[in-house]
Amino acid sequence: MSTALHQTPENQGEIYHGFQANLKPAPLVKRFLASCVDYGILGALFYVLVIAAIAVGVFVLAALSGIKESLIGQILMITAIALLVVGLLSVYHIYFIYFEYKKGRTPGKKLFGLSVVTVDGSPRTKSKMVIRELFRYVDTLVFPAVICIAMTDRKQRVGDLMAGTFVAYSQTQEAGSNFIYIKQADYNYIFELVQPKPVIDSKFMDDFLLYASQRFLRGISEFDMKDPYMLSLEQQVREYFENDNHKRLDGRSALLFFAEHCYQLDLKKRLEEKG
Amino acid sequence: MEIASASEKISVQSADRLVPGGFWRRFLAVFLDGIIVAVVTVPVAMILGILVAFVAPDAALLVEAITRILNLVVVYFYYGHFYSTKGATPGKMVLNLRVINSETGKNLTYGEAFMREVFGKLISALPLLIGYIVAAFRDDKKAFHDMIFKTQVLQQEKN
Repeated sequence: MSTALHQTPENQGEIYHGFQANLKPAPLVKRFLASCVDYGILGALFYVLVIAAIAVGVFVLAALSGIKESLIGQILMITAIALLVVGLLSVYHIYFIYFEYKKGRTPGKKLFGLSVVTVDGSPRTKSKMVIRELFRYVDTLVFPAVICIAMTDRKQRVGDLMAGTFVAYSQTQEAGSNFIYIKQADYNYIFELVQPKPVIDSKFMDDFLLYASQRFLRGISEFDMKDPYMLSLEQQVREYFENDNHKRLDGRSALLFFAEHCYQLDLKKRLEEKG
Repeated sequence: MEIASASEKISVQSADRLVPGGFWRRFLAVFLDGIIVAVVTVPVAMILGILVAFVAPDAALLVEAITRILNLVVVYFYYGHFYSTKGATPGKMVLNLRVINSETGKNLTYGEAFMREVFGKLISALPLLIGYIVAAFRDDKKAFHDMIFKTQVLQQEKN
């Protein structure tokens, strides 16, 4: 909790797993839509579970006729309903804790490019996520959450403040969950391009690393980083490394990947000019 | 740059102009499809209800359950068949709409169609229909059920 007290604007550009990321706090609209998706998913899940429970209940009542009037029957019914409520509540909380701890974002947050990160850049822990989740009861009263988000720099809700986390927004991630409509042949072409391959030419690599460091890290860029193709490419890189928990994407691997990609494009262009 | 030329190449290659399907057009299509599905299920439910009322008047809940399951079965085959073979249901065909999987660009399979129509639309409807309304304001016109099950509704514009 001590981390929440040291909120200085200076440490906004932190280094997360080698990628220098200026994590922006998430806009309120996106958070609202993301929570709509999450509650929608949970609602649909509850709908199915409750209907299944009712079906089972009706079946049991029909099978054991007369049990409804007896004392044991009433005790059984009350315990069944209590169990159902406890079950639904635990599904509700486990959904958020599981996705925010394991993946860093719930399905709803993923669609809008949001993720839960810690203020000091340390890894997410289970206890932080549980604290964050417990304060959901305060935050679902809406006013505490809205006031708290408006008052803090990083747009944290009460639970975020207590756990020392905030919700970050990444345009790249949102673009990654978006869609580019293309034909199957084009898709195959792009898919082939973004497959990482072993690097052959070491001199080219050294030149490129210098060049890439200027472009990607120091921001001296001729690339249009808002180009959907570039964004999807970066997303591919992130996904490729994020799949495996042991391999974290550090700066060098990212540069190597981009280098290889540009090299392949260059090679292709030269071959086309020849032939 | 090479990358810019690659993305240009893609946009040039697609001959038929496909743009994301508009909100009111899709609204109408859903309306038409609803009528078609109702034409199949409602008479069956009515006949079943009348029959059961004569034979076993206590089994009203059973009729309800059977009707709902029948509705799910009809939805499964109706949307599954039309989405997988034609890429659009009759209601969408009338309005020049198509539904594809946005990850592969292919038509939906039976399972994908069912998940989109039943669970996806439930998810969109539950938070006060916000899941649907969002589609009107997005560039890619995706509702929650499109985002979650990775589908895209396209509108064909002939050049």
